[in-house]
Amino acid sequence: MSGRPSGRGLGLALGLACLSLVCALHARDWRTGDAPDTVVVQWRRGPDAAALAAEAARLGLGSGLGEAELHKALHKMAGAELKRSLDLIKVDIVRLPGAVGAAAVDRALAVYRASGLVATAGPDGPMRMAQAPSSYPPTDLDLAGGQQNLTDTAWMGAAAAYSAGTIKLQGQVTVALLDTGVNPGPPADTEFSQGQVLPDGVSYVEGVFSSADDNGHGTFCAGLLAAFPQNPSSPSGIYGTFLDPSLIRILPVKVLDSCGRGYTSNLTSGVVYAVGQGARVISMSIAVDEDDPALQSACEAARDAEVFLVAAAGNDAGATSYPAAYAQVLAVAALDHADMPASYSNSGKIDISAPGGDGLSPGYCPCNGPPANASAAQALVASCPYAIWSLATDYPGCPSDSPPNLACGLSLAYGYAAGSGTSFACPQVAAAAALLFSQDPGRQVSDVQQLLLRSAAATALGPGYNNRTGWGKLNLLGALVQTHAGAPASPLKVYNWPNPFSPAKDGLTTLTFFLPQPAAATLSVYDGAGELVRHWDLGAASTYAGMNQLTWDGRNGRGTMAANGAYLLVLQSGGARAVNRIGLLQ
Amino acid sequence: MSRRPHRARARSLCLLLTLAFLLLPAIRLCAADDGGEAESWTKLIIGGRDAALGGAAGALVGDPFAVQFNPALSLGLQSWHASTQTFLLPDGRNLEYAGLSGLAGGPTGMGWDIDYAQLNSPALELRVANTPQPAGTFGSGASLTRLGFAVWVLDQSLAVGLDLKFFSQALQADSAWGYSEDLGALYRPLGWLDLGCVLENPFSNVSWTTGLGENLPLEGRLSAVAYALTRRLDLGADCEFSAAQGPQVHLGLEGWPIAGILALRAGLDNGQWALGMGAATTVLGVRVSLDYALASDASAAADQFQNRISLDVGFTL
Repeated sequence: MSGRPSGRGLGLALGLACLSLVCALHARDWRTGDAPDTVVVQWRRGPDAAALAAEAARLGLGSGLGEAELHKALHKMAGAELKRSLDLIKVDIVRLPGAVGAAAVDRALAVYRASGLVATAGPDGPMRMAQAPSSYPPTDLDLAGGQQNLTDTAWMGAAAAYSAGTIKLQGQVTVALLDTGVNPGPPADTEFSQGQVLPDGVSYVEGVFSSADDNGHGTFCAGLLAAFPQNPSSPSGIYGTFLDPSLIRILPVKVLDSCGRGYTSNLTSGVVYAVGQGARVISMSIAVDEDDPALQSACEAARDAEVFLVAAAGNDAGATSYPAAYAQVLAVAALDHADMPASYSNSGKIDISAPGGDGLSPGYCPCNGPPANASAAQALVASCPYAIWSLATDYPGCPSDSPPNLACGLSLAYGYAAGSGTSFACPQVAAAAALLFSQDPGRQVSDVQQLLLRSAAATALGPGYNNRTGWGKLNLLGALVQTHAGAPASPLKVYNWPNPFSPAKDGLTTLTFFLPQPAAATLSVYDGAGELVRHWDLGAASTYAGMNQLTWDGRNGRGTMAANGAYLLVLQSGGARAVNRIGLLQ
Repeated sequence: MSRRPHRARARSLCLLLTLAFLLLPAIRLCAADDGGEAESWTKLIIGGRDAALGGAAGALVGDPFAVQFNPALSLGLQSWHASTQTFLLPDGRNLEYAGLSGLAGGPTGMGWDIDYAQLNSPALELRVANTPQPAGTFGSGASLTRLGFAVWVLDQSLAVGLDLKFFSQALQADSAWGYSEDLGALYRPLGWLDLGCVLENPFSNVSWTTGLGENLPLEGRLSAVAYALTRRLDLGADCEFSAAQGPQVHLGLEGWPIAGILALRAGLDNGQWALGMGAATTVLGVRVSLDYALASDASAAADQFQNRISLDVGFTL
C-alpha cells in the first residue's frame, strides 16, 4: 500500500474541511456560545432623585433628566440599539449593531456596569430544547400500546374518575408553551380542537415572525399537554383524556429556532409576555446552562403574578439546568418505564418526576429515517415500547444536523412521533397543574404546587424526597381527588424555603412540615429573645400524613413586619417536637 | 402631732399604688404573637441573679448585671466589679458576656460600666428549593457593646443614667451595624424601697448592607424592689411597655437563708418561670459571687431549659 492518500480520501478530507469552514461561518456562537451582538441590561428599581442626578452628572448631562432619558443616554454611550424593553422586570435587551466579537461586547458591558442605575448587565446566553439526544422516527401507526405517558394507572384512574363525575372541571386555563412554537395542523386533520391553540402567540426568534412550529419539539409538547384524541389509538395529552379540550388554551410562545436553539433573552421575554397575556401556567421544556439574573427576575415576577412555572430538569445526566433550578420554578425530572430516574435526567434541585421515555443507548431505536413498510414500522414501535409518543406535524426542520430534530429530517403531513427527554415529562406536569386550576380557579400557585408534590407517588427509588426524582412521580388522580397515595410515613420535620427569605423580594416563605399521620399540630415562629412572632394552630382535619405546607409573609400577629435576623421555627404535634431556623433578610 | 407619720403614710400609699400599677398587667401572662422586633436577642436576660428573679431587676441596687436594665444602677455599686456569664439556650445558641463597672470618685461620684455580649448561633439551613435536604448552610451572629454612665442628682436618693448601645449583626453574607440608647432613673424614697424608670431606644437605627434600615421600638420600664427582714428578703416587680408589643411583667423573689452568703430565688418572666441560687464569699478583700439560674423557655420543649451561670468579682482599687 502506498502512503499517499487516495483520491477518495483526499476528497473526503477536503469535503470535511469545507464543511468545517461553512459551519464556522454559520456559527452564531462565540465565547462559549453567547449571542454575538445582544446584551441584557437590568435596571435598578426605583432610583431616587439623588441617584438620577449623580448618574446625570457622571455622564456629563444636565440635571433633571428622568430614568428613561438616562437609559437612552447609556444605550447611546454603549453604542447599543434598544431591541426590546421588558417593563415588568425593568430589563432592556439591546443589540450592538455591527459589533462582532468579544471586545465590542466587553466595551458595552463596561459602560453599563459602571452605571449606578444598572443592577446587572451581561451578554445573552444560549439555550436549547431539553430533548434527549436521540429520538424516534414518526409514524401514523396504532400507538395505543406504546404510550408510556398514558398507561400509568393514576392517569387512567383520573380519566375514569372524571367520567364517573368524581372530578369536576370548570374553568378555562391558559398554558403558555415556551418552545419552538406550536403547529395546530391542518384544520381537517387537527388533534387540537378549534381555537385551542390561541392565535395571539408570538415569536422572539430573530427573523421569525410566526409562532408556528418549524422544528416539531413544541408541537410534540403541546400534544402531551392538550391534544384531543381523534380515535382511541391516538396519543393524547392529559387534558385529552378528560374528553373536554375546551378547558385548556395553549398560548404558543416561540423562543427556540428550527434547530431547537435560542438565547435566554428570548425565554425571558417569553415569560414576561405570557404573564401579560394572563397565562396561568408556563411550561418550559428548555435547558439553560448558565444562571441568568434577568431570567430569574422574570420567573420571580411570574410567580408574584400567581403564574405556575414548570420546567424540564435537563438531559445531561448532570446538575439541574435553568430555569428549572430557580426556586420559583417546579423542576421536572424524567422517569423510565421502571419508574427509575431516566439515565439522561439531571438531578439536584428536582421537585417532581414524570414519564420521560427510557434513555437511548447507541443502536437502540436508531433514528435512521422512516420505516420502509408497515411491518418495519410495527417492528420499530414494538422495539421502542418505552417512549413518549405525541404529535408530529409539518415543519421545515433544522438546516444543520445538530441537534437532531424529532423526525430526522422527515417531512410528514401529520402523524405521531416518539421521543424521550425531560422535555416531555415537563408538559405532563404543566397539564396536571392546569387541571388543578381548572378544578378550582380560586387556587393559588402554592396550593397547586402542594397538591402536586404531596400526592406524588413513590418511584422505584422509594418513598419520600430524593434529588433525582423529587417528591415522586406525578400522580394525577391523587392530586385531583386530593388523596395522598405516595405520602410516606414521615418523622416529624419542619423547614422553610427559600431560606433565608426576603419578604420584599420573595413575598412568602413556605413552611413545609411532615407528620407521620394526620394530627393536630402547631407551628410557631419565635424571635431571638424567645418571644412569639407568629403562630398557627392546625386541627387534625386540616393536616395530612406526609408533607404539609403553610406560607409566612414575615409579619407577626399584629401585622408588623418582623426585623431582619434568625428566627426559630417550631413544629409540635402529638407531644413530639421538631425545630428549624428561619433567616429573614431583606 | 408630727407631720412625719403623715409623710410616711403617704409614701406607703404611693408604694402600694406603684406596686398595684406594676402588677396590674400581670393578668396578661400568656405570650402574644407580637415579637420580631429589631435586635430582639438583646432582651435575653444577662446574669444568673437577674434571670432567676425573672428580669425584675430594673431597680435592683448593688447588682452589676442589673445595669443592663437601668443605667442609673451603676451608682448603687459599692466597689468595682468584673463580671462574666455563660448562657446556654435550648436551641443551641449561647450568649457570652463580660463587663466591668464601678464607681469613680467615691460614693458621690459617677457610676459607669462597659460591657460586651455576644450571641453565638448554630448554622442555618440554606434552601433555594422545597427540598428536605438543604443546599448548604449559612451563619448568623450578633454582638452588643454597651457604655453606661450615671450621676446622682438629688443627694443619694435620685440618680440618672445614660447608656449607649452599639449593635452588630450578621446573617449569611450580609451584616448590620446600629445603635440605640437608654435613659434611666433610680429613686430611693425609703430605706426598704427602690424605684426605677427607664426610657429605651428614643433614637435608634440599624443599617444593613442590604440597604435596609431598621429602628428599635420605643419602650419604657417601671421597676420596684422592696426589702424586708433586714434585707434578707426582697421582692421585685418590673413592667415593660413597648410601642411594638403588649406590656410584659417580671416578678422576682429573693431570700438569703444565710445572710450575704447563700441566696435562693424564684421569678416569673412574662409567664416563664425561673429558679436560681447564688453563693458569695469574701476572700482577701475580694467579693466573689457565683449565681445560677434555670428558666423555662417559651420556644423550647417542656423538658428543655435555659441555663445561666454568672461570676462576679467585686474589688476595690
